[in-house]
Amino acid sequence: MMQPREVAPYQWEIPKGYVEGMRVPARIFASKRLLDKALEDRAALQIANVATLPGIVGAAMAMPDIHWGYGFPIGGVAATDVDAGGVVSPGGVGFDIGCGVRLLRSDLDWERDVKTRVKELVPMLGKRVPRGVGGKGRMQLSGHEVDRVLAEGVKFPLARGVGWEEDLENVEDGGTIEGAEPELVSHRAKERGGPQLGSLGAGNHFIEIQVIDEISDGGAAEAMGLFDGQVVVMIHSGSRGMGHQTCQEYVREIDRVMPHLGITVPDRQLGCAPIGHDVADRYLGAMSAAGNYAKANRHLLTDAAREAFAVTFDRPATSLGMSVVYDVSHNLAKIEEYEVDGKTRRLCVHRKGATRAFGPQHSELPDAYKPIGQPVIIPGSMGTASYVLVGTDGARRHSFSSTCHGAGRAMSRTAAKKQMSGMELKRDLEGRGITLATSQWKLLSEEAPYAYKDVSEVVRACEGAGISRVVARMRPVGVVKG
Amino acid sequence: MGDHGASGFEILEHTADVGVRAWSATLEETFRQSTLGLLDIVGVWQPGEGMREAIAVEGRDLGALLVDWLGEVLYLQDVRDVVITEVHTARVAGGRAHGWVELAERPSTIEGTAVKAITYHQLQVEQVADRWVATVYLDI
Repeated sequence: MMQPREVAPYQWEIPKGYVEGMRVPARIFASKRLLDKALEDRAALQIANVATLPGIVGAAMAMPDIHWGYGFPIGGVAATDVDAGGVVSPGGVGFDIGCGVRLLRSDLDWERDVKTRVKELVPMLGKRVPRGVGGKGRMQLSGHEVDRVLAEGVKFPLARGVGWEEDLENVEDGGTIEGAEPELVSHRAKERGGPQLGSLGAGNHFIEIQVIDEISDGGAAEAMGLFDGQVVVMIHSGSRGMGHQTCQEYVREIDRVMPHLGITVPDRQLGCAPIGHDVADRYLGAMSAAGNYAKANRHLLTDAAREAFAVTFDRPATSLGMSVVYDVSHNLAKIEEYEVDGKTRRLCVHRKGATRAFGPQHSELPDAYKPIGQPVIIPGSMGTASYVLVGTDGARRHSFSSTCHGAGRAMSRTAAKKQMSGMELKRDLEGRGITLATSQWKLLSEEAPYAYKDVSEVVRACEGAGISRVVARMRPVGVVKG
Repeated sequence: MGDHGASGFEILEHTADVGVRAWSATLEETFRQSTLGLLDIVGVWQPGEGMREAIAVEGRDLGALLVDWLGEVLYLQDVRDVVITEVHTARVAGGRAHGWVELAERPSTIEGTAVKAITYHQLQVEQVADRWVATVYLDI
């Protein structure tokens, strides 16, 4: 592949023409080393393919954790002009609609309060979190209640008495995505996802107990209630079978409709339809509904975490200060306004493995975060560091208010398993003081830290490009995995 | 693949996800082998006795048919929370595929990787010399 040109620090451009039909250039946010990885992988070609989508503006973008996906690369961002033939592509959101991360704080100090109790705490949490292949979630719903979760998101479990009223404030979109249309989610998706509400799933999803070991921005950390040595809980999960089935069905329908719309794409998984077309609008209503399910799912997992802490420390979670720092998705398409060629345009911003990162003073931020910008929660790979960042004004100017979403895989699952067995990895992690609860040891090494890029390098690249700023670093002390 | 016998499947590496390549002299057996690849990844292939469940799908080409067929198997497995004991692809022709799978109660633990969905990425079903070869990627 040709060498992309560095157009600004940590920004590399693949010009139009690299792939036939590119309407805009492709831009990769990365250090030279991360860029080289993206070029070895097929991910750089995939982001060039995204630049062919009708109505795309600015550039097809990839965050520093970019890696080979299906259709869109993971770490891809595409903004299409809603009022000028712009399309929505379900593949640009991905199968795990609304997948994201929630961070809970606590008043507990690692050395003082938790270190000697972590071996009780992790299994206590593991017991409360349904996970792995199949199985039922923490909250069983009637048919009518499934629709309420899809319409209301976090507000439904709250109405049922799960969680704290204040939680809503610090969930993206106030806990409910507008425009959700439960009736546009199929019976099959509800059948698949309905029983799973309040379950973790498998693959890279996890709940980690972490300790803050470095604060880079004291002011922002204080606004979020974070301090050095503090114990926090990170929850990474999505919309389970609800989102998977919804995406599958809409990709299929669009694959059938597209030949009649005169749209051709270089990879079938990039299938898309113009916003305003019936199938595109139905997809957006269904996607928002599945996104609400994902938020409600993380909310129920929050309840499991609070319960496990309360039982272990024999105190109510409220007195342990376990508030939500923030909850944000990294697989979603949203209609947002940006200036393009001097005019304010309504854009459909697809983020697939990329996190929204609004800068300070954005109207959608809760008051406490207006001075600092939106918290961005970045899970690292198992056993390495995770980060809290904040969005910047630079993100609005450079990346449609988007930044990275994690470390990003660097190695296939098969290759990862060959390097170390699950049991070897368990011993290795335990040797580093990390307590583990997992449903199966055999596959643990698929998610080994060496299968991922260096998350620290990823967040440094985001900071270097000016699309977010580092606030705090955490290291894991307890891991619950599917 | 040439040395792997007349029919079979292999798992393809992918940075984040996983692929299946399946082959056989007939399209029907190639679809079946692709299904066995999917079930092998999920960890729910347990040959034996089970309850029969019919599957019939339509698609605009062979690739779309394969995605829909595998999608049906995945949906059944996930919703019924079962293992699959037999796969039979009766006929794949004229934009349709039909056949059946057999389902049985699953054990309490399954060693496998949850598959979220079947993708159209690099999807291919084609005749190569005297056999049919299918390539499909799964989101995990």
